Amino acid sequence: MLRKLLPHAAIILSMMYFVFFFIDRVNSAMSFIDNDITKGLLFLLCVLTIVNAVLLIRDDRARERRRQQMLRRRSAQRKEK
Amino acid sequence: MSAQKKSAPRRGGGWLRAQLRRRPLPVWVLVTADVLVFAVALNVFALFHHVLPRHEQAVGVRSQRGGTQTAATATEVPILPEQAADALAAGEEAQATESEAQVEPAATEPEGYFGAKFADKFTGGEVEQTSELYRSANINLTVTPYNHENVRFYVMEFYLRDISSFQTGFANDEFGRGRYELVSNTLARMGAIAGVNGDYYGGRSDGIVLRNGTLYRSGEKLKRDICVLYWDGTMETCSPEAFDVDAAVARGAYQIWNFGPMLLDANGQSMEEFNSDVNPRNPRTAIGYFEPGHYCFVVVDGRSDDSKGLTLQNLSKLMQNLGCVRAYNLDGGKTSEMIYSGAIVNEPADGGRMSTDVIGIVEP
Repeated sequence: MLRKLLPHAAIILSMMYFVFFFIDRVNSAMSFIDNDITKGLLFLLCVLTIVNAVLLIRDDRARERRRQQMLRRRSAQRKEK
Repeated sequence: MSAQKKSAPRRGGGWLRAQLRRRPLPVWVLVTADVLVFAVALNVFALFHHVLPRHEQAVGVRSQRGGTQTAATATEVPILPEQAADALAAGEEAQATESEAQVEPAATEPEGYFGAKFADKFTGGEVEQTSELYRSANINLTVTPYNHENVRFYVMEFYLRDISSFQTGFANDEFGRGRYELVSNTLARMGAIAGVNGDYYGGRSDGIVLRNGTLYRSGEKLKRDICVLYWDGTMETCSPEAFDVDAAVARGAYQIWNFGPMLLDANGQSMEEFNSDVNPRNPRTAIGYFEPGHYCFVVVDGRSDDSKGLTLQNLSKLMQNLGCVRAYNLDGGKTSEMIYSGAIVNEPADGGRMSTDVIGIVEP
């Protein structure tokens, strides 16, 4: 369940950052980017991105391993025939 | 038995998990959920960023008033808003030709006192007050509205006997972030005759804050231009790179604002480029300095059919044409508000909003 939510959390945080960048360009005096809360959110976004990337790489490797196992099994079956 | 177990609803999200495993949610449900969470997250951010009040520890350093200065008597210190309005409309670089005052040496006064210098501006003790003029033994203040080429602006020009009449106040009388109050209420509590909104220091955690001689926030990594009013009545504006808070306090800083940008260069000439991104036509509040003891506030209405507001270039030109030698932009937009005798003088955009700080003129 958590794995399904993580990519959505990353999307939402990224969208928030789009808003921060936009309003900071319009009114930089309000320090929408340069404040402790936004810095904390950026840290969270980095962590989420790394976790999502690690999970994606792990899934990708597992899929590749399964595919190669399947190919080996098929070639063994072909040899048996 | 096992079939019954499968069909029975499970507790604690088990049913939802089973449904999700069986088939993924439709895309529109996912997108809607993301957008809703995004909206909620932005509101929570806004709540913590600039709504909830947060206590800040004041630095507490006080700058000292003292010393004696040789005052000068200005026999003629005119202000030419009519010319300024014409120049603004025509876009020409009109100079305040009569702004060169005849200055004569006068009596020696303590620092920050200008009674001898502007003796003809003050009364003997009585108070004269009309809808556009306030005159007493300590203050001479005029409020003049202008409406030209779809731009409405108000000039509040004032002479002070004592610099301590030039005061600032915090919303709810407390220093800290996220504390807001109507400009008129803060000024009324201060007992101010007139005033304008300040630099909205409480909407940010950075920036220097020094008010009425006390340093509240020393401000590291300054990004915005700075305006300093000293106890001796002089006003300076500078870039953040050129500013040294310790030197300013040592010299006798009385008020420091950190919003900006500065509107006139070191020679008192209008500028074309500014240290700010907020350049489109907007409601504006600015403070102008003619000489020690003589200042003005300018508030420009905007964002309406009656008045479209000013760009920073327009405002810079206006301040120069008024005869100011230093000028500084304060918080604008909906915050821009001028108060005289307890009433709002201008028409704030969208009805205005509360501010975190004000600048007021008070009887000492």
